[in-house]
Amino acid sequence: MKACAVFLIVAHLLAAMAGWVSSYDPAEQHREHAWEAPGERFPLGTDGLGRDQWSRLVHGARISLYSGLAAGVLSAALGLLLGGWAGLSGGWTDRLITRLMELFLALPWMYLLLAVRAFFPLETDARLVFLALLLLLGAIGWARPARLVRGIVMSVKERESLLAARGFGAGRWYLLRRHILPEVLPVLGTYLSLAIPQYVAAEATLSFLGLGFSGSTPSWGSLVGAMGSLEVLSEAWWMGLPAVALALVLGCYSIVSSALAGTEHQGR
Amino acid sequence: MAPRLKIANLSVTYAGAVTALSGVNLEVAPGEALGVFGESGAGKSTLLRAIVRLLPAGTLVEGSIRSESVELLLEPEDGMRRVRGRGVAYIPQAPSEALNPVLTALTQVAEVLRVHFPMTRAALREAAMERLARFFPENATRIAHAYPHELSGGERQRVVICQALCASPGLLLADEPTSALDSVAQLEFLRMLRHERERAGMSLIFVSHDRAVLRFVTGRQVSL
Amino acid sequence: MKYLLRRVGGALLQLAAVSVLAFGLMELAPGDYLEDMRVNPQIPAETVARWRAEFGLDQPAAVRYWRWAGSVVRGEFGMSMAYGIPVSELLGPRVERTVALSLLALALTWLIAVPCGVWCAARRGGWVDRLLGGGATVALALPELLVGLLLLQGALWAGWGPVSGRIGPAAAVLLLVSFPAVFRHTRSSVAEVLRLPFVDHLRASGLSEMRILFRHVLPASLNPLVSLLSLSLAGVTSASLVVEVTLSWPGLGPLLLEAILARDVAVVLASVMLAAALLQVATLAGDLMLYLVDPRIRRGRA
Repeated sequence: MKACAVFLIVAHLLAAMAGWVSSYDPAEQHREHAWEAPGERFPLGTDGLGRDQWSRLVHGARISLYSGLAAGVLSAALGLLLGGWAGLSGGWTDRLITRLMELFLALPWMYLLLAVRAFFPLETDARLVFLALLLLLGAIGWARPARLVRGIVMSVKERESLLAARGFGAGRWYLLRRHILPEVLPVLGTYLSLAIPQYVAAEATLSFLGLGFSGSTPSWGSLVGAMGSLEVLSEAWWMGLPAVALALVLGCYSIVSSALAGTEHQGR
Repeated sequence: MAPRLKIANLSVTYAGAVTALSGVNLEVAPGEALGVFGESGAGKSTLLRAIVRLLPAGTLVEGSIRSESVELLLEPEDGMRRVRGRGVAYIPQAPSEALNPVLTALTQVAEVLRVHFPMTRAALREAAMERLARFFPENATRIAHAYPHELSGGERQRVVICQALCASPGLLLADEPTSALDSVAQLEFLRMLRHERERAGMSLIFVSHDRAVLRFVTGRQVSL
Repeated sequence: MKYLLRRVGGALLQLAAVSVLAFGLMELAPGDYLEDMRVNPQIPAETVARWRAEFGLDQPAAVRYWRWAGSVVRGEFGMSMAYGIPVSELLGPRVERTVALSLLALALTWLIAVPCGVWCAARRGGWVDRLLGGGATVALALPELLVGLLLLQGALWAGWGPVSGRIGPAAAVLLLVSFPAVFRHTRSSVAEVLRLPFVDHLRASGLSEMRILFRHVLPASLNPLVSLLSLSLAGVTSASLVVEVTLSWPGLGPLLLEAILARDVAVVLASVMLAAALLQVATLAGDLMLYLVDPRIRRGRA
């Protein structure tokens, strides 16, 4: 568990410092060195255009890891806002938001994701794609954390200490900060450790399908996509390394999150 | 006469070196009703569970427990399974929680019969129905096809007793079975227990922290 | 019965909401199927305009929604602009293959994961439990994309022959992807029931451990599992989309991807509607099963 947490931190740091740790510009082509196996000059080899795979991997990590992280945080924030609002206000607001929540939970999200993605222009600026993906994933994923938050708020609301605080004349904001947030945050933490890898995987899947970042912007999805044709891997095994990196990161996230969920369970 | 159950120098130590019982000696004659008195935490439940060997894994049990010349502590697990319910039956502390919520009363009685008397499904149901009829003379049919949540607390308890006694065990162990009942239901339950015991000539070990209850159902009483 | 009717009504309402939502999103998105033709200098502007009129794209959104909804109710799901035929004709065989794949994978998953979960709950901390638990933790993290690629690669190296376009390998990938959730839920829900007093009572009555597990504990722990069934179908439907593309199974997935790239709105909308409808049916079926397996629901709480 500890090793996994350390690995994740190192991976995120490397990704954040992509410019520093990579030896080449990820788009720089060394045509004369196309399909070169890992060696001194190119630690992870090169692709068919002679681009350095290591540089592409760390630059791709920056996009993939952080778009997962950002989408996870965004969905959690939206969930906190809407779930908290529903739980606190009750009445028809609650009923409306709960209905919406059920609707979003009932949709097969992969279909929805693809469908919405369908009508963004296919080839756009990488930054726009990043933003669009983020909004998309966050907007589709809010329902799960919202349900968690609403459940907690509803149970906290009934508690004696809260009624007592109400009796003292505590305002809504005070209640939120002192009574509800401390209960909600650990649960959201566990949610995040579970959701982030899913969003990372979602980005990779979209890019793999050709609906996310295109080949010129390295992301782990497009890098994994490059090994999609089988001839590539039988000739150049190092092209499979991004998939290994992706699997490692997702596996570590999963181990950390089940450890987190375990401690939370014991705490109760 | 040889004792129905003889416990010699029994010690039970739970995992983590918590000693629940040490050096306990007990004897129950055939047909005798023995009351075991003990404050809570004295190891009453541990004693009964040690006899049917249902203590958590990792518990150290030393000494000897002989039932009809069988050394229970040395009996292999499948032999022990034949003893449970037939040689020694056990009524748990909260009998009304001792029923499976998704099976009918009839099925649950039949399940116990099935272990000890191999017969066809139809015969099993008939036998179970007959046993239930003894405990519910007025409304056996309704009880038989009811699920636990459709029965009252007292009715559930009677189904559990019916289960415990359906294979005509030689010895019944009862672990404070009335602690969750109000006094009227408690009296009814104890009366039924006393009646059934006398009718079948079965031995009984009844543990409780309530001396009045013990005096009502048992002859000799010992303290733990 | 009245309850059932209300549930069906609720499901239809939700589907209607999904249709408005999906249609609205498609409206907001820039570009349409004819976008590429308009910018293509070889196709005269009048031709594009005529096509627009033919497909009714020049009408206001509300009118188009109304027309489209009508055609959905008739079972046509609108016209595919790329193929020029009703979407239903295009989708029919695809849906059959996707449903076949999903159901096969789902059946396999439950047949394997439930007994594994029961076993591990009974032998918690044993080596089988630790092995499967660890495996499930890792498998839970792996997206269907990686599992599919891994299978392709493994088949190539091991010389298993072609795996693309066959139902077996695709179902195997889906099995691996959906196994962890079902396994974990079974394990925890059975473990919870195993702690109940009635289990001890059964042991004290001489029942064998196997009989207790599968005749008594499993039925008593079915309730949360049945609710999982519909969720697990949602997961399989989503995962199957990607698996179909990676392993070239000619179901809805590849068609949807193609339609998205071509901006063939009607096909995209139809896929979303079908997937949502499938889920609603699954949820209803789940509730119905809950009603059948749990006497506490069937016969009312005392």
